[in-house]
Amino acid sequence: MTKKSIPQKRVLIKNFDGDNVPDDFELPSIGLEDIDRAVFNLFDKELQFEISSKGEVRSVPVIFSTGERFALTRRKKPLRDKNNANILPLISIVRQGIDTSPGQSGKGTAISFRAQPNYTIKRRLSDKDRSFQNLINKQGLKNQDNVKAKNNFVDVANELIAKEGHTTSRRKNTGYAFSPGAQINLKPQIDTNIYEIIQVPYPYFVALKYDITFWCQYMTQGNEMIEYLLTKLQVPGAEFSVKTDGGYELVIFMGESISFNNNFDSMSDDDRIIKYNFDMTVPGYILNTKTPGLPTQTRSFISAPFIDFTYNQVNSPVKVDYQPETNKETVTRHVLSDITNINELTVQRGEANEEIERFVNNPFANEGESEFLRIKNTNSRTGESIVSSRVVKKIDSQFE
Amino acid sequence: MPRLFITPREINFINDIAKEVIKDVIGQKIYLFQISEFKSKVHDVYEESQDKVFDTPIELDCLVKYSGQQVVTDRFGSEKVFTIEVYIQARDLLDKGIEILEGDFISYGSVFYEITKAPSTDIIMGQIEHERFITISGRQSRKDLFLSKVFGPTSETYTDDDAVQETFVQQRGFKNNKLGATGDVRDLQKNGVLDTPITGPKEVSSKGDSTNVGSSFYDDE
Repeated sequence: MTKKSIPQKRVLIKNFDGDNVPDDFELPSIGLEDIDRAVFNLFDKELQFEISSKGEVRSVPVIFSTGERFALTRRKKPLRDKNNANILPLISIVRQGIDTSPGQSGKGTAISFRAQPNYTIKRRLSDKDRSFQNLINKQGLKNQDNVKAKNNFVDVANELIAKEGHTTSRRKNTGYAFSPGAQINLKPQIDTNIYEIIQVPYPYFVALKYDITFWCQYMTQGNEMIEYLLTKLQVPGAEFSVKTDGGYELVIFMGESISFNNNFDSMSDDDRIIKYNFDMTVPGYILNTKTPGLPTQTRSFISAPFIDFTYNQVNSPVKVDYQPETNKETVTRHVLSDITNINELTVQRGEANEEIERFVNNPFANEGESEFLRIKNTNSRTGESIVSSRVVKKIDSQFE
Repeated sequence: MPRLFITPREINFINDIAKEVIKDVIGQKIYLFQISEFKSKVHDVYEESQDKVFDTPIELDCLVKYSGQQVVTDRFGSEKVFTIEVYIQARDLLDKGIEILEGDFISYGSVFYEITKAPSTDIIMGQIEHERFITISGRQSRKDLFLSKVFGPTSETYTDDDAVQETFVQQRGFKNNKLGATGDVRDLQKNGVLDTPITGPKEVSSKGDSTNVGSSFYDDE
């Protein structure tokens, strides 16, 4: 006799294995690059700093300080003059550290920081639902060929054989005839339906800090840029609300102070430096990234519209062994058996976790032994028919 | 030096002499790979490109200050890195319409270098409009940064046809020599101060070696 392993508590997504990727659903991703881009676009496209210089108003270039040499020297929007010296003013963005702690640089998270086993992002009717609705005929349609209706049986009395080109079912719930309770109207009767549930791994929260520098030629230019920035700030939180290209909303928090760097007291050998510097913090998250090495992150699951409560009749005591199976038992379970997959002897659909205790008498001695047998039942719906002493007889089924 | 004594003719003379030394005597060359900002797919925020597309490589005559491999040991272990310094005549670049920028790549031998600095280094006789040469500083580029076909000469240890340069052909102001287009311009010839050399470009090759020991200067036509 061997013990069955008790199935672990199942979570819907465990390490995102499996290949149940939804066919027609695409969740935009958000990662570090998207957050960088959002900050860059804030300065480059949304705020669009402008300064007045020699009677002209011109825009201020923004650079994300990571560029390769060739890209910087051959920029389509030139940052440099013919002698390859920077044309001021400039705005530079440098990404600093990444805070992965629950504190998130003091900004916290909107939902639980600790990763949950799964994260449901969408619940919609499954494409299998249409066929299912035909089978249960919720509206009680009587004279339609492709729904469950009594008239669609050849042998109506015994409910045998569907007519050619017709659909019907012996399910005992509703809809064999048009009933007073049936409703035909435009209200969505979303109750007994098959749902598709789409999940993604829980977002990984990161808080990114950026160092922003306004590098100016003149004090007047610096004043204009700082005034413009502060005027554009969304009070009262001193923040900017931005959206990534994928549609994820992020909040960019500005630091509490703007430092002013200059070399006015020692610029004998250097050019005059006017720099304003401040921090920005972006609490963000990594979700559904398309990083190489990671599988597609979304997973699709189908709901069970019915829960089957079945009453069985057995003629021996039913036992449930709660002892976990040892490694030795796992191996010996396969001894002297046909080649089997290690998962093959686990509880399958149509099998119960319980065992039947049966006493086997030894005819050659006045003794016997108890053996524990796995329960198998018949399932006419799936075409299975098992003849065995272990087979239990079903008394009734009740669907909820 | 006063402009009274250093006229444009002297400037041309100085440039021509420099070209003669570099192109007709020394014979060192590098290959310049200029990254095309239009053909390369450059990241719009990070301004980087993992797949750089370069224009047709250009052979440039130059003086090379070769530095041996430097061994750098850090937390990743030791690695060997080449650096290089190349001097290119400014007038030659002007004649060929080439502008060398930081971030371009050069090859010398089998090693590719990223140009880290390419400043204008000197002017001729204090005349600001006449640059003497630019100095290119390069650092060996990693394989993932830049990779291309290798042009010889590379090393005696290789078996490629062009691994060892056995033929050196002068240019002497001719548009073409035995190896193809030169792009060489000698200003004194161009301005009619000097005649074109009657005997044409000479070469060092096996043609001049009657003993079959190796290449030698082939002078007598």
